[in-house]
Amino acid sequence: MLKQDPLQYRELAAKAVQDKQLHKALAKMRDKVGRNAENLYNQLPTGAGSRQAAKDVRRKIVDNLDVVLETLAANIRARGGHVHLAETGEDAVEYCLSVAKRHQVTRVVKGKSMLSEEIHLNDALEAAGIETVETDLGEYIVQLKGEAPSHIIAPAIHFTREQVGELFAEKLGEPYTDDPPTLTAMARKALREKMLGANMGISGGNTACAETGHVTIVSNEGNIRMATTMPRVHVVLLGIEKIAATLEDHNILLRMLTRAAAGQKISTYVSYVGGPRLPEEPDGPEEFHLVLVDNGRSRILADPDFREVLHCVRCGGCLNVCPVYMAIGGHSYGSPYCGPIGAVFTPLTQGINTCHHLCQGETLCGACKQVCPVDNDLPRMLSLLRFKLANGDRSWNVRPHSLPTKLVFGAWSVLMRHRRMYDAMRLLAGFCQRFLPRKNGWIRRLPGPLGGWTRGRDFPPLAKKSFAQGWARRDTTRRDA
Amino acid sequence: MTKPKRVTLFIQCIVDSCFPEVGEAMVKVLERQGLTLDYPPDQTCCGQPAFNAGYRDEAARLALHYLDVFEHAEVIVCPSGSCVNMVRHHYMELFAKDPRLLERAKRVAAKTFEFTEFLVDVLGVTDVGATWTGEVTYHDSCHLLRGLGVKDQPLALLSRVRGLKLVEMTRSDECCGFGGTFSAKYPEISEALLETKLANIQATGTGAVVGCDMGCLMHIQGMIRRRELPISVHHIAEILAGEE
Amino acid sequence: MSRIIERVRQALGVQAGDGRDKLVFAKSDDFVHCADVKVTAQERDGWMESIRTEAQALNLQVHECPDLDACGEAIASLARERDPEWGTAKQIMRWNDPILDGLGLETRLGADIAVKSVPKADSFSQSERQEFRREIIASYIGITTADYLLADTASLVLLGGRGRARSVSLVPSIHIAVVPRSRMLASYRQMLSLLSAMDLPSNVSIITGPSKTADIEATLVHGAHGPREMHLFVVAS
Repeated sequence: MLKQDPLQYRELAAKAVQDKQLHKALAKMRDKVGRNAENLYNQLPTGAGSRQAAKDVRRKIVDNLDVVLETLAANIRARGGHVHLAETGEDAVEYCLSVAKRHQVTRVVKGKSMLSEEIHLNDALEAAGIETVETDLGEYIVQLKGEAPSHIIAPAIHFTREQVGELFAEKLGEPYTDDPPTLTAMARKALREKMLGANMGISGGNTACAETGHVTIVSNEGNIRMATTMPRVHVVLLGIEKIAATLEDHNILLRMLTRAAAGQKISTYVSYVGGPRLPEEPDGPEEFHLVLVDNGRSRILADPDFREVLHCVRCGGCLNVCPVYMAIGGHSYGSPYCGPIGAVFTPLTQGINTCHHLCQGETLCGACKQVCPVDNDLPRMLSLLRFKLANGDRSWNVRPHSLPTKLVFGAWSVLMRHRRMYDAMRLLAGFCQRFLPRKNGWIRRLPGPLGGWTRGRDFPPLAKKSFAQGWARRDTTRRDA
Repeated sequence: MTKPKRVTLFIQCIVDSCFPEVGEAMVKVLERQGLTLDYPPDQTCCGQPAFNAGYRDEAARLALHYLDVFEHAEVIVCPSGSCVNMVRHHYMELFAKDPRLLERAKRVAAKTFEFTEFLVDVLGVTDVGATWTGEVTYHDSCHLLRGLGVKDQPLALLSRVRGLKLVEMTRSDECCGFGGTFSAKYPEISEALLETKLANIQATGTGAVVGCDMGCLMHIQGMIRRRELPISVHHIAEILAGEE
Repeated sequence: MSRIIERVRQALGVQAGDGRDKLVFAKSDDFVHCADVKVTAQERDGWMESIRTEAQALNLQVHECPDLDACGEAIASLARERDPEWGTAKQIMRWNDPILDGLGLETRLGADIAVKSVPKADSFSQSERQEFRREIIASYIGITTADYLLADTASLVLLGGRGRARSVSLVPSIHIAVVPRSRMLASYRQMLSLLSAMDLPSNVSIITGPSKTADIEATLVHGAHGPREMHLFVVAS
């Protein structure tokens, strides 16, 4: 799988904004799911208070994560499941490999898991000679193509039906078609074989229930159920923050998740799995492993300003309303987590300086905050990330991003406190603008860093007289009248 | 609704420097309501450009200046939702660690209003006696809409303008792509959002767009002029100041 | 394991055993008792109406039968009409459950279509499991009951256990669920409330319609990897 790089944000975005077909595809998510989410939340018994209710539940869980984790682990173990807490992505990968080796696994079938992308699990499995097959239709498509997913919920949204048709014709040897039902049936056939012939299934999880000792997996296709029921071994990868305490917690969390993610009241399948098959069950996995992964999350937990981002339920709702995401697509973010959530989570786990484009490359319009089912304030956190980039930050290992910019803003802020200075700068600017190319009064080209504006837009000239000057004159006129 | 004795004008730096006619239009509308106005000549900028770019210490200097200039006003009115949002929400973040400054900021924030919100919510007025013949479409600025929760007030005011026909655009609440320094640092993305906004404006067939924030409007107007599109751009103050 | 829990505790600034679990695992009275309501026949009629409405968009086919006899007849004719998706041999796999016993499918379909039941035993050998696996893969119809049927979402709740198998509602192309009317509940929330008062098995599946996907151009397609066709038979008595 190709390596993703958040430093390429600007280049990738510049290309993606010209991709009309991408925009058309993403607009479907926006119009079908994103813009209707609030209506769906309001239909719940909690009405307009639903997002706050979900937020309160997530906060309770995250603020007491130690208690919830311990109870979950104990109850899963009581069911005969194995629980491993992995500090790092590498640790989690090591564990999965060791389980696979012990069972002499030759093929792993995977349910969709963004966490598995985060820790580069597929690459490690393939390197160990284990065939790794994604079974979620969208993930299967991007895997066949050798690309990264471009949306948290709909990984292949950037493909046209024609492109999927060509891909299946090439890789599956099927006759070309662009009909989605036919294409889906082709994948159904190909993947059924893979799933029934695999020794190990690895899935993600949407949440867990600590009080009952289950992992909860939400899906529509049935592939996750199949990939985790038919093989002998089932391994679940779950971020330590994505768990819940009680089934009562699930009442609001699951119903908000499916509404935000896919505009559904409930998904086709909600599966609670907590351990290997019972002796009296003729099917189900022999072994069940829950791998709870930290990989930077406990560091976020320790920072009260950013802890809120751990409330995220990975619904992808913020992507579906973000005008920047809609224009640039998921690949521009250089991370399995794209869109607004990716813009906060990725810097906090991969490095704020490395991911500076993700911190700065959006307008803070607030649409994400408005739609988030757990009322996360992503704009606040992005603003805070920009602050850390501006000044540097020891606890997060941030170097100041641009000293020249800091100096300019510093000088500006000192001068702008004095109206006389403001007027003097205005006079100077008024003089300089005479040398700038103009058309119909507006400026065609601005120098230096401001030149980005005039790439495709004209810039307004300074008015002959400021409002203040006009007011002063009016006062004089009044006095004289 | 109580009519204040004196309304203090807070004129956004962009308006003061480049679009004074917007400030003048706002003055006209307020005076038509029989209000006495004053304008502290020392005012400069709320500090938002620095804050949005992450330069909070720098922004705080200007925030402090704002407090000094405006804290003795009875009520403060500004023709920009993003500036008022800065005062009402971000000043609290800037001064969170200083209880005295925080207190001062809270008091000033409580009496700082955006122009349309002042007319409708404080004065209780939707008919300002305006006339403006033509069709327009309205653009919701993000900070005004989501920051301040101001959505209905501008529409209510526009609906009472004689001769005006308001046509709704698709996704009027979608960001136009300005975003402050973002517009110069990420021009490709900024322009892409703007192109979508312009397409939605053009689809209304009105040939005119109105908004409450000159940041958005100068960005929109910038591409209209570059591409020589037949769309006129108006701040709501100009329409509300319109006469027969 | 404990190193990470320690790190989490440090991050939160808390101590172990300080009594927070009471708060974390507390259940509201309202939630605990929300299923303790007497239901009238009229309400159940309303629920059926809701189920029928929900089922349409889900492509879930709902049939109402007065008794198991009528239900058995209907299922038998369905089985005769449908062709297997893979191969030509027709075989049905059903849960081993008194309700499904009452359908009399073995008698109705006799020599034409094999009807197998999930074996009931305290445990299974490796070869017995492999045998069952072969049988379920060879079945074009899987029949289960359900522990609950939810009115607000038309969902079925299937708890794992003896005589039941997870793959019956999953691997065959067609899933048929036979549920007595008395097992209807008003809402998802009531179901969660009831489950939280039980000792749950290691597997619970909540199924709402046949499988689907919208991964290609956000176009909804019914029939992804799970069953592509699903029938709900609600039996009055």
